[in-house]
Amino acid sequence: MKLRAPISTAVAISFGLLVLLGIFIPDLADFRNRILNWAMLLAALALLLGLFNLAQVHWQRVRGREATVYSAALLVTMAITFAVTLLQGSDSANAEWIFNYVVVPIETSLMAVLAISLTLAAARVFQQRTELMNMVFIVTLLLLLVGAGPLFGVELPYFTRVINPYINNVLALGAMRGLLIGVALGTITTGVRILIGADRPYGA
Amino acid sequence: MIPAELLIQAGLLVAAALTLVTLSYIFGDHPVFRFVLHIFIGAAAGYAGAIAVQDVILPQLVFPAIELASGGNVDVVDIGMRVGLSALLLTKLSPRTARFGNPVTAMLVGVGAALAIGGAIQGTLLPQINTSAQIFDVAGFDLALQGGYYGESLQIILQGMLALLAMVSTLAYFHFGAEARGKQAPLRNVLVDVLAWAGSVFIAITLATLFSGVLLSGMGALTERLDFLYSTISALLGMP
Repeated sequence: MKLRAPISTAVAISFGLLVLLGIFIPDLADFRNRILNWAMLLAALALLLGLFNLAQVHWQRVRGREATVYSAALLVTMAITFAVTLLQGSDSANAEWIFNYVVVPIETSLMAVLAISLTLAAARVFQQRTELMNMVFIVTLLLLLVGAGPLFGVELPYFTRVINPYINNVLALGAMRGLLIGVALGTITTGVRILIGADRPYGA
Repeated sequence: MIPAELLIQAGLLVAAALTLVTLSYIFGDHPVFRFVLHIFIGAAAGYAGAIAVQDVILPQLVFPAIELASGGNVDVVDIGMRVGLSALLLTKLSPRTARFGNPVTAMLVGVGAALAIGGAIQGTLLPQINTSAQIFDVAGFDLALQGGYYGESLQIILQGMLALLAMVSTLAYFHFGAEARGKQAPLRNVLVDVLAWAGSVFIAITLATLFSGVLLSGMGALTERLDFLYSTISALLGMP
């Protein structure tokens, strides 16, 4: 049987094991920190490679006259933001202007749009299917929303002080704990599969 | 040099226009919204890239390499590894040389996997197991019992049992093990099946809790944006 990507597999296993052992063996902590610093540098470089790829794809779209305006807008804003932030610093007036008056408003507005989309989605769930789980979901959601604060200026103390805390601190907390433990077990399994070479998500 | 006051006013106008266009997505997708979305992606990507260069690449790679080249007192092996690994990763820029960067990508994946395992054990699994072990409020139960508040002591026990059932049944919901039955389809244990059903109810409640949290944050964002639009337009029109 021919082993696929033996060098990459050996590198992934050895560096991964060194970092993992460094968590539990204090003598290896220095070496682990050094590897983590290298990994941090490589992650930053990988981010730059990603940006380069993004720019390249949109540059090709501009040259091919395919969705030119959108791609040109992306390239221009990317170049301006990158240059201003790098040359003048992230705390400079111009970089802060871009961040506060371009990035933050769009980001917050997208979050606001999400609220409306979620409300519509919840209404659609309620309309389309009346299964037990949908009913549980919708009833819980309504109880939580009613108890989230005053309704048209009227306080509903039974909802805010009894039902809401009970759902959050007893029913949801227990299940959330189960979900978190499940996610942690899944993460460990995936990590171990990479460290024993069963999964190799790093190219052939 | 543009006066600061003018910059702020221009900024408010730009922010209000971008907010209006983004919020107009509620009525459906349109070209102006897509244009604004591309502006957002470009600005966010450029900002992230500049921060990565400023905070990581310059101080961890470029400056130490310059110091090494100018004969400074630096760790040669460490800097050599940084430069070598970076050079290998940069081979990913071209499809022809990309395979030389695979070992570096593998290193990143291996380190990431190890950190994920360590984080999952130390940051999630152990603390969650520890808190689960204290699911019953023993001190509160003792206090209620000594004070003769039997109703409250019973409530504490019931709440603990319910939280425990929620946790165990949620875990059972994700248990897919089944017994082989010869040529018949494998069947899940009846107890696990019942627990899994209860787990699905608790998961629905938890998802509703998470959903309400996201919905309320979104509502908060919507209120903030509408307030911003109102105050900006009022200021522009000279309204008090």
